[in-house]
Amino acid sequence: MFSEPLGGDVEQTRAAASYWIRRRKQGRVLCQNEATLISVKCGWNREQGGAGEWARCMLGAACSWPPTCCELMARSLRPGSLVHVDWHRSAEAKEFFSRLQHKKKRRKFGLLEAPVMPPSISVDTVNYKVFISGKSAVGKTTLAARLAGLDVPRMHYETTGIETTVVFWPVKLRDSGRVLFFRFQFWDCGENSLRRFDHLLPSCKEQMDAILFLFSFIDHASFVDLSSQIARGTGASDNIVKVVVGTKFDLFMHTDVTEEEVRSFQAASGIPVFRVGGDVCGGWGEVAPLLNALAELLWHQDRLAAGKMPPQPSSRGETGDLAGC
Amino acid sequence: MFGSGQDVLLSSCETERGGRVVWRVFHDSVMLIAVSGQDTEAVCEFQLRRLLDNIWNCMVLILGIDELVNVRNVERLKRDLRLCYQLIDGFLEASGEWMGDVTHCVDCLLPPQLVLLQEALDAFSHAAESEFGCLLVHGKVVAATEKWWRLAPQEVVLLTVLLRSLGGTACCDQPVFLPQGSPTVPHRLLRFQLLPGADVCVLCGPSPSLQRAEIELVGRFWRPLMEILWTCLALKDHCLPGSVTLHKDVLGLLLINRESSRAISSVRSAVNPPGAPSVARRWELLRLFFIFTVKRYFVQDEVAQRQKRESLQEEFALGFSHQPIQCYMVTEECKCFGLQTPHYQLYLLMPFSVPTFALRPLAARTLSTLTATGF
Ligand SMILES: Nc1nc2c(ncn2[C@@H]2O[C@H](COP(=O)(O)OP(=O)(O)OP(=O)(O)O)[C@@H](O)[C@H]2O)c(=O)[nH]1
Ligand SMILES: [Mg+2]
Repeated sequence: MFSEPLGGDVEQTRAAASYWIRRRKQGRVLCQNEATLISVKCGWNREQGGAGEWARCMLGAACSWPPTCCELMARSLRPGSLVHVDWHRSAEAKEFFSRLQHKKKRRKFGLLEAPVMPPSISVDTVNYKVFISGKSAVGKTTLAARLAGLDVPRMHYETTGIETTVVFWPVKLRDSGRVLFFRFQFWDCGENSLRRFDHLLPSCKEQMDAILFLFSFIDHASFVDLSSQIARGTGASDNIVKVVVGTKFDLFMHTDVTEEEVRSFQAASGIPVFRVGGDVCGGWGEVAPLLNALAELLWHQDRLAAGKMPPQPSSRGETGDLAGC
Repeated sequence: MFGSGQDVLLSSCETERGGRVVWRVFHDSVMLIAVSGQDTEAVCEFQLRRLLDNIWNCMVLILGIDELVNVRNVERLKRDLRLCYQLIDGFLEASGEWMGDVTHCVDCLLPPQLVLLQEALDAFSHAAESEFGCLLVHGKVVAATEKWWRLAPQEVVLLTVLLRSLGGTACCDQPVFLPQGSPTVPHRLLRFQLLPGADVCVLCGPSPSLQRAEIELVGRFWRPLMEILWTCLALKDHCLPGSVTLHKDVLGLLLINRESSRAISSVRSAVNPPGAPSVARRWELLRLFFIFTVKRYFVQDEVAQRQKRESLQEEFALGFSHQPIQCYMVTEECKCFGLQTPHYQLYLLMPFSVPTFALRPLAARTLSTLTATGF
């Protein structure tokens, strides 16, 4: 995969390496089979021993982009520019997606488990924490269940405390052709619980990588509330991926939020908006747009952080192309 | 209310067609009323009373006792009570493979290699800055720290039901008040799903954070035990390790350790003589037989006292001057045998084909096999 060793900017390489080491320490990056990773010859890593060794591996993942691509990303992220968005439909993807199923249903993984690939294929796993935010009954618990392919709750039971849900999602990177397992951990906290206990919100926001802001298509107030939600959800250090999800889109007969409103919100904020709703039928197609976009945005963000490139505001409206579920 | 105005204590009533209404006032603040349908044979006063206790405990667990006893704003309380609905429904819909709701004993599963699991649990809890840790498989307790066992049995049952209601999620951080141990100060109940169906949980204070505990501790302590956990998971319904061999005619059993308030219930799906009830039905029969027996014969002290005070119905049991120690029942579906000693109670289901005179020796033998495990 690496025709050329990373040359040139050793400082940048070092920064990237220490970034990946940090994430590794935080438990964010898992490496299933370190031995098979490509090593990059860099003088600095000899002094650093074990950690350097490992960072070298991850650099393989982090810096395998042609510079033109990096420059492009720094300006704005075009949907589908980093990952193959329709990959789950391809024959090649079957091998990966079949590991996520069991008897035609989504396979459940405990914390000690991960999808097992045949020894010939080595796949790395990257971990991300995604906080689901939104007012009570908007559909947070339902969304987490939907993304995990579990039965969605019929009744609204208020969630007490925090519940997290793990979703594995294989993604094929565009430039290197590498496949990665994204392991999303969705954090869902009942809104009324959140208000009763002060410690829950900080815990949800601790080291989060992305945040999903939910509104409901049948509750206009929840849509209006988005901007204050966004202000509350993200703090000063703003290298967090933000995505808006409109729930209950299946109840369009009663819809309270117009397409025009959604479009102008998207244009003004630069935050992509997704629509979800209806029964879970278990197909990959119903979760692919959101999960692919999340993966792409998170990957992009990590690239920026690792490369120490100053994140620039994306040109307005462009990320909005991601919308449409 | 009319009655209490006149200093009369009325505790339950029955409708003409057999429906039943039972109520109780908790802490002079909240009155809970349970109404059963007309088929009273299925739901008796004993069950309704346990239900009221359980529901009150659910409310305390989620909201804390202060909010329930010093009600300042009823509307707010009503809104906050919605947080309890899921747990309460868990008790209302109780059925199937656990019986803690009626036995008020902790449903357990006897694992192979308990020592290894216990060591891992103790070390894990210690690392999570907690003295209260518990490992559950299929919602039944496999191992718990010493302090966990010192919680009131009803609390442990309640926590188990709570953990069961959290279903398939990976981790939880759930504020809980302990109805007896800590009704005013909340603790954090952290739960981690190690494998689907195998969970470990700890009760702790402000630290560690859920995320830190998951990343730093879960894999470190539990990955080496994956194989054993899988073996435990395979014991579903059976709940006893392969090393315990029971007589081939035992369809299902419930064993209660009266001292430790722990129970094992087991339904043997591999034992399937012709005409025997299905696995689901056996769980139901065990539950019904337990309720029937406790109501009529093995009247527990606490219940007996309350009945002396409150009930006029169970005259039959109260009429005994002694405690029955064995009982049996023959139905069209199967034969049941109940047996009690100072330490244990055993309830057995056997196929209809077993001769009635053989029930007693079979039960005695089963009891000694089971107690030999040290349960
Ligand atoms: N038709 C439809 N109903 C939905 C959808 N999402 C959620 N619901 C329903 O909305 C209700 C509330 O959903 P939950 O997911 O439990 O709400 P929540 O955001 O987790 O609420 P809290 O835990 O109280 O904060 C449930 O009855 C769901 O069935 C959807 O996309 N379509
Ligand atoms: Mg919820």
